[in-house]
Amino acid sequence: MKKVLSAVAITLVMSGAAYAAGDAHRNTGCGLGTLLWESKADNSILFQAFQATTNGTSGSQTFGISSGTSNCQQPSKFVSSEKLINFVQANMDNLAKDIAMGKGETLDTFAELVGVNPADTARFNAKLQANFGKIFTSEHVVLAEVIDNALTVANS
Amino acid sequence: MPGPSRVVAPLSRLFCFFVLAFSVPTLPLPAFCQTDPYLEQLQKHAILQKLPDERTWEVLLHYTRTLTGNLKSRIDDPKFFLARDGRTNPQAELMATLGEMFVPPRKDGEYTACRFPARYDWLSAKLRIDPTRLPAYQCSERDKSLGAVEANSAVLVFPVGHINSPASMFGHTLIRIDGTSKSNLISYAGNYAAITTDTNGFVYAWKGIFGGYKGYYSLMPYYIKVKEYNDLEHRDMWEYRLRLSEPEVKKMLSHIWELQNIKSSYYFLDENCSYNLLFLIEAARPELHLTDRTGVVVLPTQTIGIARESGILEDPRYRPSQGTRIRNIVSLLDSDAQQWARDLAYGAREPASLDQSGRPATDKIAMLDAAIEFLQFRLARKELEQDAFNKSYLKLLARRSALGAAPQELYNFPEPSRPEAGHPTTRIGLGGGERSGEGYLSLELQPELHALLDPDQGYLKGAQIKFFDAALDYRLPDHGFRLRTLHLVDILSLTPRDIFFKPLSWKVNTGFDTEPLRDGTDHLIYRLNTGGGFAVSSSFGGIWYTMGEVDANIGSGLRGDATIGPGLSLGALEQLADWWKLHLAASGFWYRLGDDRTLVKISADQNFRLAQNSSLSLLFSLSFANSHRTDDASLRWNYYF
Repeated sequence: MKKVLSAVAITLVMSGAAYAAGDAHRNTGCGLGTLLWESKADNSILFQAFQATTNGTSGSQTFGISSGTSNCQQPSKFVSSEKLINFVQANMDNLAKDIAMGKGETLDTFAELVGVNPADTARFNAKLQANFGKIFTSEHVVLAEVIDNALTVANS
Repeated sequence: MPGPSRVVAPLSRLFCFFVLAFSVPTLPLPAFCQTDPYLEQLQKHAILQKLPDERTWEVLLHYTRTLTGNLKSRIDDPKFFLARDGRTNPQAELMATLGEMFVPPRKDGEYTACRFPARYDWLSAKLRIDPTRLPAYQCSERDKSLGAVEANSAVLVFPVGHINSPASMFGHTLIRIDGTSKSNLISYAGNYAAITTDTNGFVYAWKGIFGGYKGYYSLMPYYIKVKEYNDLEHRDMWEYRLRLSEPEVKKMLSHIWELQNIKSSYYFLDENCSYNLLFLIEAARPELHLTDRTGVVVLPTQTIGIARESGILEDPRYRPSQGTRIRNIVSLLDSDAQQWARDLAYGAREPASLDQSGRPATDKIAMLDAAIEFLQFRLARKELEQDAFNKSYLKLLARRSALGAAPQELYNFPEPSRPEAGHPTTRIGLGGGERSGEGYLSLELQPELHALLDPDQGYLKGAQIKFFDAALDYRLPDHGFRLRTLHLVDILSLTPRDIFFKPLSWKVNTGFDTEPLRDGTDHLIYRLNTGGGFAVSSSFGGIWYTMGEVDANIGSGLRGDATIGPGLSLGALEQLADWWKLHLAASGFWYRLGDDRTLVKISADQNFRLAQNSSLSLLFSLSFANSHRTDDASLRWNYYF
């Protein structure tokens, strides 16, 4: 597997910890618990019944083919895939869940995006699950750290 | 001029263009109209080949026939047309498009092919246009975006309805465009939806029905849609791969690109998400003729039916929502373990407490998995702050990660019946019965969509949505007619509560009904009835419910011509077999304001599914208006189409 991942992470000398003190304000919305729909969920049980659902156009951007992640600190330069960064930013909760559970579609997608050989995904998943605490180091963990940590673990 | 943001062609060119399009060819052209002879040749060929009448051109411009038989585009945004009268004149639009091809772009991305690639490609192929005789151009942004999507194959996606939300009770449809990656989450979703900031469902429904919203096509990563429908709104999704070739899917994508930032009026009932999505499939293969097969009302399930009939749908893949996942996992646990899982999600117990639970590993896995999913649900509902969520979430996940992957067989849940297994959405019923000793024949019509007693296959259990359902009786003794029911709308949502979810059940209906009044004789009244209450799952797998209700009536048979009274209802809905449904119900209403009536009614209704499009209903009811008894027994054959 090391060989597989080497294409995207040859020398991950810089661990996530090096970034931890990065600009905090730049990392708003780059961590866990980031909701994409601030206005859509409603706690009121009555209004839940009469709430409108837009069937999907809640954002102002209708063509989000390459949505930016400029407000997030970027992972080490070896994983510069915009698709990967966008994906992890938008799906960090589900990625954490799948890693903890050892499988899932979000984890499969992550594995594909970082270039894991399909034959190696079971080992990749198991390794990440066993090292969950090394990837999601704290509740303030951000995008760049998660990606770097996961690749460090996978390559260890 | 049309819209402000439109790239305005030089006036002289526009003028020349109109002269060219409409003048008699033998007349001399104005001197400044030194049109490229190649353009003239192409325009002539286009007319000779009758390209403006071709189906592809109709589809790409969204032309449909109006009531008067003329063609008119469903899109009302001037930006979408290059000719001034392009919305109603396919030929002028085609001539203008050819004309635009000869306008050298001033910068990257400005050229016709960048803005309208599907039109450009089709015309180029049809007229065998020699690109070397056209201006040079660059479309960097288009190439980058369409390249990122890749577009190898396409999938029709159906997120099912959400009964608790009137705006989405029929469901929705969107298109997913898959590239080369194995994962579908990073595919792109093409969607048509209204832009709205109204959060009130009634305002939404009103404006939606009467075209008060603008609809836009969008294209974004599929994971955003999955999170929205599956995770936030708890709607299961069905994904039907379309039998389209790669070049066809690329045409579809090019057309989606053309629709970028183009607005059109959104009509909830017909020009809605599902109708407009059919244009995208037709853009891939125009000869399918999907949009002209639709009726007055276009429901997502009907568009699936239309696509299925045309033979382009494969069998669907099922994507359970988070709500379904939680209910499935919880169903594996006894009530103690369910409570434990709930405590974990609410922080009432620490994840470490599981070590002392003495439970087998599979129970612990299921308890934690349920708690983890539910905690996400609590965040989506904003029951807790992000910081508190992050802390609890990581604690649960860390504990869960120590247990390894769930055994393969633990989460083997059966799929619900597929949407296409459901009965068609219009029902006609023929039958007869006896009401207080008088025989009658009856004719019923339910234009849309699903009654509580109709077979559940393919529909949400416990949900009833009826529009304009009517029942007419022919009384045998006196050969008279009786309008038994004419409801404008009749919605009932029974959603069972469990340890995790505490939804309300509710109903609203309004329309005419024939009812025994205070002297026991039948009268036609107009009613508005609404109620709310609770439902639970029964141990037989059905739904039991109770509701507090309010019923307002208007009618000449009432003491004061109008009355309003409180009521209470109870019911049990059981699926005794796949083909056999039973609904037992009892209700009591007290009308003292404007009337002197106590109405108690009990009923036992059954439905026997004969086939996907037919069933038999056997109905008994007994009611007491004050002390006057009315009994009714009837048998009805239902045909769905």
